[in-house]
Amino acid sequence: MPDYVHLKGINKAFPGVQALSNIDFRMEGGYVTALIGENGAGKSTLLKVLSGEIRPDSGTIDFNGKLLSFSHPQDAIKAGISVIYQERQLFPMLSVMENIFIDDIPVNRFNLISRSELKKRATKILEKFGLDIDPTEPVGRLSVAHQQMIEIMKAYRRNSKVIAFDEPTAPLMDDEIDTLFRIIEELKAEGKIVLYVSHRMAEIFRITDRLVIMKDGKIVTTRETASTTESELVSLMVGRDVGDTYKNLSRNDKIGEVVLEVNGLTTEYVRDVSFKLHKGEVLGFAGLVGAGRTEVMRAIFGDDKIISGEIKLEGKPVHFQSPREAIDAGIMLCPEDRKELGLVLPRSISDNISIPVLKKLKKGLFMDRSAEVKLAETGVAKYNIKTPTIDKRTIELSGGNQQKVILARWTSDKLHTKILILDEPTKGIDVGTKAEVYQMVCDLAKEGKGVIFISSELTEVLNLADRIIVMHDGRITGEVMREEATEEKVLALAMKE
Amino acid sequence: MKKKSAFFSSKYFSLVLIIVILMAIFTIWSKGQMITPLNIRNILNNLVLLSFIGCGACYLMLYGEMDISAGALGSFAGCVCAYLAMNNGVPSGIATIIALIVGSLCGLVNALFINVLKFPPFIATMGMSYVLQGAGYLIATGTGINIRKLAFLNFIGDTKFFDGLVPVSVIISILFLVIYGIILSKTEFGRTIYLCGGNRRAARLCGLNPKKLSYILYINSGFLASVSGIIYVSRVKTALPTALGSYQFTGITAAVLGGVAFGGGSGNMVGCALGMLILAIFNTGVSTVGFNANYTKVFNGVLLIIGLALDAITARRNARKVVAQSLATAEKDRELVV
Repeated sequence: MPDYVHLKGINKAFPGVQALSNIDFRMEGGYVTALIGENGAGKSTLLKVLSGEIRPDSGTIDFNGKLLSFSHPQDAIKAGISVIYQERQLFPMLSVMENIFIDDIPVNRFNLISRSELKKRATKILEKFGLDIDPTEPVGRLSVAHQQMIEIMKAYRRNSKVIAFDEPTAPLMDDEIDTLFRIIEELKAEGKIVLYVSHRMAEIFRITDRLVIMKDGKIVTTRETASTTESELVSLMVGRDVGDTYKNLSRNDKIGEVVLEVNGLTTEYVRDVSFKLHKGEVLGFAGLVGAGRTEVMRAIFGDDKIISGEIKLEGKPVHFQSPREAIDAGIMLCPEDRKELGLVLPRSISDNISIPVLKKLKKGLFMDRSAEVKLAETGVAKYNIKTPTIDKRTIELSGGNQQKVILARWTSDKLHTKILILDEPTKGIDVGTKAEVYQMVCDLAKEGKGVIFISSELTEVLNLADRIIVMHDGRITGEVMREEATEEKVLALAMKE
Repeated sequence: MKKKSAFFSSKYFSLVLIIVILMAIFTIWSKGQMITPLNIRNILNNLVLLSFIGCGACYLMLYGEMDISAGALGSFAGCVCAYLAMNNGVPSGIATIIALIVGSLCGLVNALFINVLKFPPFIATMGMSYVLQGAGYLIATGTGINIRKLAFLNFIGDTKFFDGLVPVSVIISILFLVIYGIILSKTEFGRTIYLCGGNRRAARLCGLNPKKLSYILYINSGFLASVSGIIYVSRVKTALPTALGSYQFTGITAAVLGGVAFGGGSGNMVGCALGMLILAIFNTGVSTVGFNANYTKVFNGVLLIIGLALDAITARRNARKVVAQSLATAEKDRELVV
């Protein structure tokens, strides 16, 4: 009988969101099981449960009839489960052989590292994988693809029965992908349980045998890959009914002239990006994580160097050298990572709201405390920020309220906001606050501001934006109007190779 | 009434309490020697040297960095001043100004290494510290430069007000503390320090310029260390390349005791000043009760560790509080959904 892993009724909640609910499926040795779903469907959380990094709130992992519970990632490894992440967990200064045997280095009778034995064993594995790599080479000097192979060899050497791959092909070139797939085929032939997480349709159909489709932390269905078509898979991934949230929004229907025009913008991260934003328009940016949407905005905002291309604000060419210049010109950016880039967490709500307008809150040499209080209180009232006082430190607020503080900062009447860029504004906040944020976006559009709305949640972009720009791999792959936008259409553009 | 209770639960209250207890212990231990006018003056004198370097350390720590070169830099500035005035006949007032400029320039060099070459602040300023100490020996030799004849420096070092009780340097020191305190709490510049110290990336994305601030703070640290060094020379009448020793760490200790968090973003000048006072009382007390002066170093080390432990404990308690609160809000949100 082949090995199997059966995940039974796994639940996991994070503050404000149910990341996994009642996950239940079975993987068998000798098969490659694909785990697929949109961004935020819960795939990474599930992988982390499997690798022992996260403890589920309830549910069990049944491995060949034995119930496993991990309190540490090391437990999962000992049990024979290896998860290979995108960000490789290698020591770049150490050699290939040391990395492969990192937790089982052979020693001689003096308890010192036996390099000859280490080299012998590593060479054996390298030969088995058919890779022409010098075992004494530092891992940091290898190509990304080879580094990933080292990670797989590590799992293989541990004799792991379960090997899970988290989007392994993202950094690889075509011929490297071929090598990877050859190795996966071999693992499969040896009866290993392989779990394969990827966004790429072509690969899923090429390498996997079974499909587990996730959405919003739940399993939608499981299928045999051979009997599923590509379009069927897309609609399974999408299939969600739009709640009343969007129907009740009071939208802006008067779209004005062009306020921002970007032509052929190229930076280190994005290539030849062109688009227009109108006054009163909500322009959605869709795409997979890492498609380059954030990087486009950073370049416009003066935070990234522009290699070539032109940006026009209200018809006049602009080239901002720093965020300060962009802010003074009327472009505001709510960055993607609230805690790392958005807020100064140890400071108060009031301090956080006033940052960009400190110069306008002075009375002579000193800060004008009463003007600052007024600014903060207006923001707190306008955005319904739930807090007893404006002096509360932002680190103590919930995610939703933190996001509202940032919105209050960028829309205060001391700033002449023409364009507001919102990068993943609803990430990690609860449903109720999300609806509030949507209405705020519409209200800003009504005031005649141009709003750029970036989100990895497709439903959100589709329902909120007047027009949607889709990016993939640093380029714009298409543009859709809301009336004609469907999740299938946008997803196809987002995954366009 | 309400105000009073706020004071009793505040951080300042515990610092004041420590000061009172320390004074009481040393007074009893020294059989009253601790509170003679002369000894009070010693405490103030101790406070003076600490206050300048302490202000610089406090600002930099609020920004999340530190300047290890301050002690050597201050000593070097003192040597430069004495060297110009005694060996080259420059009027002592002008020599003082040149020394302050040289000290500030050393701060600028620190900032250049840190911002342009991206050196970790610790390494850059430690290197600077060795260079300046060596340079100090080159111009002042091991025996130092005697400055007994200099009018301006003698004025700073020897003039005393209020029946000879309060030296002019104490007045300067208190003036600096007050001005630096007001800048920190009341001005846009002070706010910028807190914001950039709290989250540099976010501050930049909000239009602030953390890099520019870093230059200002290192130059400021160099300037204040130089003031310290020159006042030291004016008092002991000899410029030595090791005059201020490793005073930068005493400054850091004061800031930590006063509640400035390692990593930046929170703390204030009142706390720092109380921290300095604690150290000044401690160091004076230790010698008053007859300990060898070397013990003060040991005790300073112990105090730094205590301060850091308190910092770590508060940080952990805050983290726990934040987690608990966020869980509570999540719970509430879930109830709302249900």
